[in-house]
This record gives sequence, structure tokens and C-alpha cells, in this order.
Amino acid sequence: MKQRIFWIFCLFSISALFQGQQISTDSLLAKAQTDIYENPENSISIAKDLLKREKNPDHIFSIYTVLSTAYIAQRNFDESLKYILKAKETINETKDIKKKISVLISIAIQYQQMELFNKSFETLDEAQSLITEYPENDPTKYHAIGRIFAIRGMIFKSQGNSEIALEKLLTSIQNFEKSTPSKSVFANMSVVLYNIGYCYLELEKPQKAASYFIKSNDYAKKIEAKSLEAFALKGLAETYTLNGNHTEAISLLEKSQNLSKNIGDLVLNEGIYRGLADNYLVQNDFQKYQLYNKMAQNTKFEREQSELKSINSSIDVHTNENQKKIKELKDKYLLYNCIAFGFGMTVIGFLFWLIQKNTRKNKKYSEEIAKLIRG
Amino acid sequence: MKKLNSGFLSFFFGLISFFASGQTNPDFYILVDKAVKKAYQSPDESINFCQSLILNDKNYEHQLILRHIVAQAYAMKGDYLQSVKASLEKIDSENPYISPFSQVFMDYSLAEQYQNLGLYRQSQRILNATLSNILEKRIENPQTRITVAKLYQLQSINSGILKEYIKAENQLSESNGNLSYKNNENQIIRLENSVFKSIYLTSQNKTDEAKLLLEKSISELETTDYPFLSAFAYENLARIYFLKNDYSACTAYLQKALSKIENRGYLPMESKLYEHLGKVSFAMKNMGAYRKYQHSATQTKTLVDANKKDGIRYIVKLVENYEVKNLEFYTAAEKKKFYIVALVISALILGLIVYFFVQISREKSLKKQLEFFAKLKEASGKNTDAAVLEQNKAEKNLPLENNEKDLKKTVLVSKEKENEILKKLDEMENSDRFLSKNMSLATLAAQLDTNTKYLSEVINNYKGKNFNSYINELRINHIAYLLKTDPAYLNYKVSYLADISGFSSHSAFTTVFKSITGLSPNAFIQQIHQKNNV
Repeated sequence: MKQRIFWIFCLFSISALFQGQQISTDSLLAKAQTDIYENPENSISIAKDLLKREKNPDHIFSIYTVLSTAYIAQRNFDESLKYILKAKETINETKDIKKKISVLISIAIQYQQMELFNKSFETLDEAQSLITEYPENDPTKYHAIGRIFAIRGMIFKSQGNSEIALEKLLTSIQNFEKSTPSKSVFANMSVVLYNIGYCYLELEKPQKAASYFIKSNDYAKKIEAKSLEAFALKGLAETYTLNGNHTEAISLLEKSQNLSKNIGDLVLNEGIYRGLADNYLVQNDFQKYQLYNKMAQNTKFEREQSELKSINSSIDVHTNENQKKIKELKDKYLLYNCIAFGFGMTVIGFLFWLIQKNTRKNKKYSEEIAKLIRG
Repeated sequence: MKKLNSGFLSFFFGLISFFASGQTNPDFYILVDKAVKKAYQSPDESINFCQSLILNDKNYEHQLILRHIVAQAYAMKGDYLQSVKASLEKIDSENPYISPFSQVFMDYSLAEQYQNLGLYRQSQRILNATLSNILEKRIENPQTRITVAKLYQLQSINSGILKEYIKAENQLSESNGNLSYKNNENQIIRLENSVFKSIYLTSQNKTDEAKLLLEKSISELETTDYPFLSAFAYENLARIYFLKNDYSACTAYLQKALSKIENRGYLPMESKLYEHLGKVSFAMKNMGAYRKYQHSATQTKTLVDANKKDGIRYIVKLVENYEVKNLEFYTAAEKKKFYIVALVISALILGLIVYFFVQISREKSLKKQLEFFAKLKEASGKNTDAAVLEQNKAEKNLPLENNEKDLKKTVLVSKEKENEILKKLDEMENSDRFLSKNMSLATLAAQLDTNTKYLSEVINNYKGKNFNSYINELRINHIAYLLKTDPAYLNYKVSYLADISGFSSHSAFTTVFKSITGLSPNAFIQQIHQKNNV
């Protein structure tokens, strides 16, 4: 769950980056991006092709990011790291502070994905040190700081350090509030507020948590981000569940379920079904419990399997390659055997012919000798 | 050549090893059984026990089996990275040949790793391929049988996860069919299978049937010492009570399960029990207990999930290793096939070549016989002893064309002298003098009133052979004629024939006889006998 909301945040960050680079026309890169989790092999091959002919440093950075993410999907962290470092080199070529920070934040996210948290913190520190060079009175400065702290907070939260996470996330929100309001700022705020809510839940402060989930929901509503709204409502429902207000919790979860209907977010759905099942269980509605419990289990299985999709596809590639090699090997030896057999048969045939000839000759001689002896 | 030999040896070893493996060292399998039992009692102990065995055993198959138990124990601990490492990392072994048994075992290991890590499709793919290969063979060996039982169990678990319960139950029956009741491992697999069956029954709402089955297993488990299995059975019994809304019985069984495995290091099982306990506390509105169990569940689950992630990351790397081994196995198998084909063909060719040369030498000998018998026939046509030699004369009292050049080069013998020597030679041929054992170039020269040089020159030029061959031929022709015309000679011993032909030894006579007639004296006598009988 934590992971998923992080992803939404990453998506907003990355998409913001791509908008800045005006690569929306580059359909190939878009294809590579959409394929990252379904077919990382394909993403990698597209990205590598693009890399050969691309000259624009912004595009090159995006390609490196795609490569790095695709390798993360394949769990090949060595390769991923290689491309992160290459991506990092691209910032030396630009003097634009905003871009530099943006790139560093993306790199920090990559490190987080690879669970190299120290590296991620280091990169964030680097980004933060560049903030001082930011143009005076540029309101996007606060957006950048907000993002840096949001990532820090989410990393701490994923490690189970709710108190520190909370501190970072609150700093993040303060900075977002100072920045120029925009869709992406609101989206990020909704995500950060949701995470703050969860930190309070972990710290067993459901009242406080509820207030942040409500705020998260407000921001989500402003930008009509249904999935974020659904997440916020689900969080809010959890606070009601903990307070024993199961009817209210169920109604919130149903609302959340309605919002998430067409989103197809497995993590969200699983959370909603689980919440519904739990609340019906307490209400002794065993039938509904079983219904939602089953749905939750199925969604969980589906989610786990979808998370393994990229691994499956990368293993498939390996297996197919090996099968091909085995087939080639078998074909090769079949050819060898055929050649050996053909050659052998020719020689044997020739020898048979010679022997036959000789036998006939010898038979003739024997007959003649017999005749001579008899005569 | 040595390589080829070892290739063939390993091929024959390979042919039998799938069935024979496991019978070579019964002590080893007693230790394996002990290690498996330990894994269900305390994974750490089992790991240490196996690792000490691994250090002292360089046999490839043994290493595979031991490493697999280590891997299993690590997986039971929830340490998936170590589990993957233990089962798939390269094995240093003195015996690099991969037997068909180890190939099956490697597949089994990999399929289990995939299953542990949630990669069910991959697991299923390998199991299907492996089991379809094994189906064709009858299995007698206990170690192979239990491996097949485990393969079916894995396949059944995959089917269960994919909700194909009927298929899963059938696969469990197949698994049970390959079990015997002799050791701990067999008992463990059988009990596990019965718990799995109860899970499938529960999922199909056949809770009463499932309950009965579990109670039966539990009563057997109470007489044994497999805490892990007991916890597994209690957990599932608790699940049935939960579905029956009997929360207190459910809690009691979960607690019992937990008490069985607490502090033994079975992290994933512990995590599952905490989660269930949390849920049942929640249902009983015991929020304090719910929070406590929920907390423990989250903590353990985070750890298990992180380990799983590491395991997945590592398996992707090691799959390459497995594929390399797989390819090696196929290469070795194909090479062997090729060697066999090449060897059979080479042997055939060699055999035929030998036969061909035998035929050629027979042809030479027959040719000689033919020539000789032709001469002999001509001679017997004239019906005189001397007639054999007449022919020689007619042919040979002219200088041989081929030798004409040589003639000019060598000592010049006057025509008159030549004629004189030839005439005297004719006389000698018609007499029996050549049968004398003392006959030599010098003796003959003295007898013919000439010198050895002239005599040798004339024999060479007019008879086409050297002195020895000339005399030998006269002798053999003589004795052959006698053999053919006088049946009394047929009864003499070869040594006597040698003696009367003027040869000093039996063997010299035989050799010369054969070189001239193409037949050994005995064979020649036999031929004549045959003719006479006809």
C-alpha cells in the first residue's frame, strides 16, 4: 500500500519532468514507458535504439531513466545503477538549476526503488544544496523543496520510522503550500497528506489521521483525481474502523469503491475489499465478510502476480533463449549424426561393393581351381 | 582417447543412474532423512547439520540433495535469499557429469524456489515438463520415488493456488502413490499432503470433511515430533473453526500452533499465525489483542516480504546459472549420442576393411593356386614327371624381354656358353639332383662346369628368378606332382615330404610351398583328397 502511493507520487514527478522536456511527441519513448512493467525487455530494446540516435540531452536523460526503471523492473540493479549514473552525468551538461534539481529528484526516486536508501538520501541532499542557487522569488523553489522532503518522508515511512517520516512530510506540506498552486502541486499534496494520515494511524492517533485524510481528499477533489480521492476515503474509513464506527467506515469504503471502479488500481481495490470484509466481520455479517474476503484475497493474488509480471517476462526471455540454444544444439548434433551416418554409409557401401566384387572373383577362382583339380 | 573413454563410461553410468541413484550409499540417505526431520523441528539445526555433511561429501548428487534441504530450511525460516543461494548456486564437484537424476532434482529445486517466491507460472512450467518426462519410466528407486512424490506435491500446490482444486487433489493422490512408509521424509510428505487436501476441501466449502482429515492428521502428529507440521495442521483447523464462527476454538488452535513453533525461527508461519490471531481478535472486538497481533504480523511480514524481494532479485541472476547447467546436460547427452553413432560406424567400417583385406589375401592365394593347378594339370596331361618342367623350359629358355637391358649391363656371357649352361640346366631339371640337400649355387656351378657368376647370370636372365627361387620351385613342383599322381604320398607327414623335397626344415618347406602354390601343404593334400573322393 505504502509502495503504491509512492508510485503515484513518482508518476507525478516524472511526468512533470517529461512535460518540461517536451517529449510528448516522441511516441517511441512513450511506448517504452508504458511497457516498462509489462514487457521490460521491449522497453530496454526501444530505449537502447533511441539512445543511439538521440542528441538532445533532455531526451537522453529520459531514455536513461526509462532504461534504469526497466532494469529495476527486471530486478537487474547493476544495470539500473549504470544508467542512473549515466543519467546523473547529463546534469553536468546543463546550467539550468531547475532542471538539475529535477533530475536529481528523479535519480533519488530510482535509488529508492532499488532500496539504496542512503544513496537516495545523498542525492536528495545534493538537490537540496542546489536550492540556494535557485532564482530569487521563484515560487517553484518551494515545490522542489516539497518534493525533496516528501521523498525523504516516504522513505522513512517505508522503513517503519513513522515519527521521522511525519516530520519530513509535514515540512514537505509546508513548502508545497508556499509554492504556486498547480495541478501537480495539488496532486503531490494529496499524496503527502495521505501519507501523513497513515503515519498518524501507525502512531495510533486516528483523530489526527482522520483530519489529514480529509485534507488529502479535499486536494484530490480539487484536481478531480479519483484515485487519490479513493485512497483518502479508504484511509479515512480506516480511522472509523479503529474507532468502532463500522457503519460509517463501510459507507466511506463503498464511496471509495465507487470512485475506484474504473481505475483498476489493484492496491486500492485490495485495501477497500479488505476494509469492507473486516468491518462486516465485526458486524457479524458473515456472508458479506466472506464475499469481500474472497474479493480481497483474489485481488491480492492478482496484485502479487502483476508485480511479478516483469520478472516472469524476464525469466521467459531467458528460458526461451535457452530453449532456442538447446534446439540449436540438438539440430547441430542431428546434422553431425547425419553427416557421420551418411559418410559412414557411403564408406560401408563402397566397402561392400569392393568385397562383393572380390568375393565373386574369389568364387570364380575357387570354381576354376576345383575344375582344375577334378580334371 | 581418455576423454572418449570417460565419455562412454559416464554414458553408461548415466543410463543406469536415474534408477540406481540412491542405492549406492544407504548411510547417506539415513543422514538425509535425519536432516529432513530436523528441518521440521529447527531449521537452523538442519542447516548446520547439512552444511557439515556438504563439507565432507563431494558427490554431485549428494551435494544437490543436501543443498536442497538447506534451501528448504531457509525458506521455512523466510530467508529466501539464502534459500535461492543454497539451491541454485554453482556446485564444485569432483564429478562434473550431470546424471538424469540430478537433472530432475535440479528442476525440482528450481520449481520449488519459483513457488516459494510466488512465481507459480514458472514453477508450473518446469514441473509439467519434468513430470511428463518421468511419466514414461517406471520408477523403482526410493530416492527417485520420493522426488517424484515431491514434484507432484509442488504441482498440486500450484494447482491449489490457481483454484483448480480437483486437479490439485488428483496430483496429491499421485504424490501419495509414490510414497512408502519407511522413513521420516515419507511420513512428512504424506502428512503435508493430507493437510493440503484439507485446505482444498475447505476452499470448496467441504469443511466437515476437511475437519475430519485434519483431526486424523493431528492425532498422528501428536505421536511424532514435527512441530512445524503440527503448527501447519492446527492453523488450518483454526481456519475451519473461524469459518464456523467458533472464534474461541479458533483462537485456541492458533495459540497452540504458535506455541509449537515459537522461537524456532519459522518466520513466515509465525507471521501468518499473528495475522490470523489479529483477525480473530478483531472479530471478537478485542482491539487490544488485535493491535498487538497486527503489530507482530506487520513486523514479521515486512521482513518476510523484504526477504522475498531479495530472493526474487537473486533468482533472476541464478536462473542463468541453472540454464547453463541445463545446456551442459543437453550438450553432454548429445555428445554421447554422437560418440555412439561414430563408434558404431567406425567399428563397422573397420570390420569391413579387415574383411576386405582378408578377401584380398585370399584372392592372391587363390590366384597362385589357380596358376599352379593349371601348370600341374598341363603337366599331368603329359603324364610324365619331367613334363612339369618341360613347360618351364619352353617358357624360360629365352631371355626375358624385361631383362634385356639388364643383360647388356651385366657380365657378358658368350652365346655359346649360355646355351651350354642352359642345356646342362635342362639335364639337371630332368634329374632328381635338385632334391639334394646340399644343392647350392656353388655346387651346381661345379656340377655344370661353370662359375657361380655365369650360372647366376643365366638363371636370372632365362628363368626370371634367383637361384634359390629356381631350385625351390623345382622342388615344390616335383613334390606337388608326386602328391597329385601318387596317392601314397598323401599319407606321408609334411616333415617327410619336406625331407624328400630337399628342404632342411618343415617350416621352410611349408613357407615355400605356400608361396608357390598359394596353399599350405596340408590344404593342398586336402584338396587332392577331395578330388579323389569326388
